[in-house]
Amino acid sequence: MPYYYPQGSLVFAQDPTGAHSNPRPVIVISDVNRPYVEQETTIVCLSTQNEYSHDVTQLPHEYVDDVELQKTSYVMPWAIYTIPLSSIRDNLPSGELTRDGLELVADSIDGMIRP
Amino acid sequence: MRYKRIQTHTLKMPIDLRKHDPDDPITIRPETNKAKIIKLLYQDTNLGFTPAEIREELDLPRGTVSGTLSRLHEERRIGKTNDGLYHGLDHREDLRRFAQSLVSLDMMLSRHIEAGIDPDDVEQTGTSAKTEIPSDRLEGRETPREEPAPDEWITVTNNET
Repeated sequence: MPYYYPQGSLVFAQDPTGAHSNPRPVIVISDVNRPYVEQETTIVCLSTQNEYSHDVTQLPHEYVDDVELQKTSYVMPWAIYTIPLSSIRDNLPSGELTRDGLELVADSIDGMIRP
Repeated sequence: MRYKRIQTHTLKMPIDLRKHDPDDPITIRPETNKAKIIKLLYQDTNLGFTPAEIREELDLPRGTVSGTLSRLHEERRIGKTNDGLYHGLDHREDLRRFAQSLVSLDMMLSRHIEAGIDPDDVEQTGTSAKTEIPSDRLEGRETPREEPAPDEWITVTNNET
């Protein structure tokens, strides 16, 4: 059965080349109506760093269900990519943002693109 | 690498495009040689490569490329010219998109090298986010359409700009 990761999923994407040692945590921002949903997904990256030229948005731990973030994490609204679904590792932790978490990510991206 | 001279015909029967669904999901793992070869061949489907060129370009071990190329060709995921050049297939929009998403994944991991969060820093306390796609979403999926040429799409209305 084809699968996908719903909007607001917090997952880890794996480096396919082995050049980078650690899988990268990302948040899925596309939803089930996205074209090619069974093949690819649109994500925004998370980081523990907050010193960038553009504002980052802190993701409060209570805005994520099913996993517990043990480090302060920030949404980087400029770091948006389309990645293959098969790069997401389902043997690594994955959770889902709460409604407030989804709103926070949307506001963060909105803050970047709205003139 | 050369521009392919002859458009391929496959060794098996050709694919009936009326029955072929280009939206069938691609489940190739990104770290496999299959994915690396598709990523290379679908960056420009007008380019044809010999097996040696593919091995050199992707820095793959000797003896691993020919078998993978044969399997991809048998699976009708890539084409082969009469003189032995392998290439992406123009009509495989699904594989072109898969190759593009692999390029995007590379870009993401190269630009944002250290997240500072490892899987060990995230404790699973509930169920996985992985979800089956509702069957009604799989019905009536859109097929890719060609976009108009730039000059048919957008025209300049102020020459000064």
